Amino acid sequence: MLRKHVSAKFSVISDVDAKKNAITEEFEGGLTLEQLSGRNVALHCHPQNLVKWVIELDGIASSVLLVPFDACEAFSRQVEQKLDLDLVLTDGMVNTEHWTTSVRGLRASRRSRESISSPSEQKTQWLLTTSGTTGTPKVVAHTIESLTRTTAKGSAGSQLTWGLLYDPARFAGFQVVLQAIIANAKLVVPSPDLDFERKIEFLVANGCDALSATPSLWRKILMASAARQLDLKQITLGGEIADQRVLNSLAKQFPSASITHIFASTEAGVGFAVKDVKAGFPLSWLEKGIRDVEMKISNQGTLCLKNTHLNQSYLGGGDSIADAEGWIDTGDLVEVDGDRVLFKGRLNGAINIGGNKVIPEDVEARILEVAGVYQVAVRGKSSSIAGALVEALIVPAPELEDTSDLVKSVKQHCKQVLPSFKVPAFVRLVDELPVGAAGKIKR
Amino acid sequence: MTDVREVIIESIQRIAEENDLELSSSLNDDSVLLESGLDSLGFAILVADLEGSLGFDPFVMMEEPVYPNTLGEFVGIYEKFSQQEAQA
Repeated sequence: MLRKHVSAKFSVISDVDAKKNAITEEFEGGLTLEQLSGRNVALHCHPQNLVKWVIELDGIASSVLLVPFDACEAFSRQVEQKLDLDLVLTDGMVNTEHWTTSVRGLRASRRSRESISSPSEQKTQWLLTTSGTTGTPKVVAHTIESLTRTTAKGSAGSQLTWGLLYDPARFAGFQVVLQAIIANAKLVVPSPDLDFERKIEFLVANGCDALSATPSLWRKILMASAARQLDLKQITLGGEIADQRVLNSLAKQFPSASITHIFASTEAGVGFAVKDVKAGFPLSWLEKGIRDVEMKISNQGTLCLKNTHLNQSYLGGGDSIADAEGWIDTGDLVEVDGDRVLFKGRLNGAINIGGNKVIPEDVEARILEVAGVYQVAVRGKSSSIAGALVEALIVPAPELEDTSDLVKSVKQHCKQVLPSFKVPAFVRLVDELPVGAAGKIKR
Repeated sequence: MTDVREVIIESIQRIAEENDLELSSSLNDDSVLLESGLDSLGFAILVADLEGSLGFDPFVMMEEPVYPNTLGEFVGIYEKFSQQEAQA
């Protein structure tokens, strides 16, 4: 149970009014922890309370769905269809209007925390969603054990003050939270709606010296003027391919920091950490494995992982992720270069925009809705800033005589129906799409 | 020689317009890029766009990329690499 890891050293620092920490208040209609025992809960609240309540709920609730701060109506509807939720737990600081499930608060229990336990004595299942707040969220169940596989245990990290720049309801953010809890470190949580510069200033003002971010977010951090006052001891990168240049930049700007890049797949729920400030990972790991993770490269060139503690599956109609021998195909293409194994992108052509995954077919389907579009191919265009950008190649319909407004209509339509990172940054009109030997569109 | 500064400003304005971003009224050397009105995606598009018009991407060319805070620093990086390109 997470609670067992927490000592007085762990604390959460936030810019929001501490009085709004609803757990200390007599919430009207609020439930006590014992009333949540064995229930299936969706946790939808401000990040600072989400972090605190995660600790309370672990080992009590049967399952907890972590709801992104800005989840929209479509998100609620879809998870309500997929999951058998008993209730939504909130602190009243987010918009919970669109839930049809009963929305409740939390209030202090008269009984001691230790006397409450889950009736089934089962580990709490932590449910994390993998795609954006629009689109179909894929729900993956984890345990605290599986999520803390790459987390350093013990007191080594307890001197650190972690900053949280992600929504803790997302995989990357939740990992930072667990890292801080398990190391009994301080956690600085700026509100998600603050301007980026203000967030970094808040981290500086509260002595943040450990940060985890995607390579794209790191580039943005390096652009912030307040970042020049950050005195970082621990730097973690994840969620995207960490290239050698961003590692070099960080090493130069923060010479006294340890730099770790993490490979972790939400689907696989496994990962490993690379600490030598070089892109990719050592070739020797492919042969010998690392910790309790075994590795191999599939015939398709993707990285496959196997570990003995794994028990993940998709919820709401999904197959087991592992094959009969326990191998999980991460879908990430890798290539051996000298004594390193380097990541090369996704087998399915998914584009990673600063840590957000874009499936080309999803965008293509939306573009085909625009009148005057005959054929379309969506692909990633490499970006030195965002990892990749979305590019759409469009063949106009033959009957369309004037194509001058087509690019604009496509962009406008995409903006209306897609989240901003999925909107093609570049739309080009072409005579025909690039087609490979097998007749498939080249991406 | 192309005036790099002009190309950059023109590109920022076009990208802002195409992506419905509102730029801060006065763009000058002290303008903080993250507060200029271009969001981080807009900034990534700007760098890709400039690669098309100027023919190089300094953030790929630098072994240890320096990320600019102000517009002045951003223009400075492009001017420096533009000279190197011209000499090459």
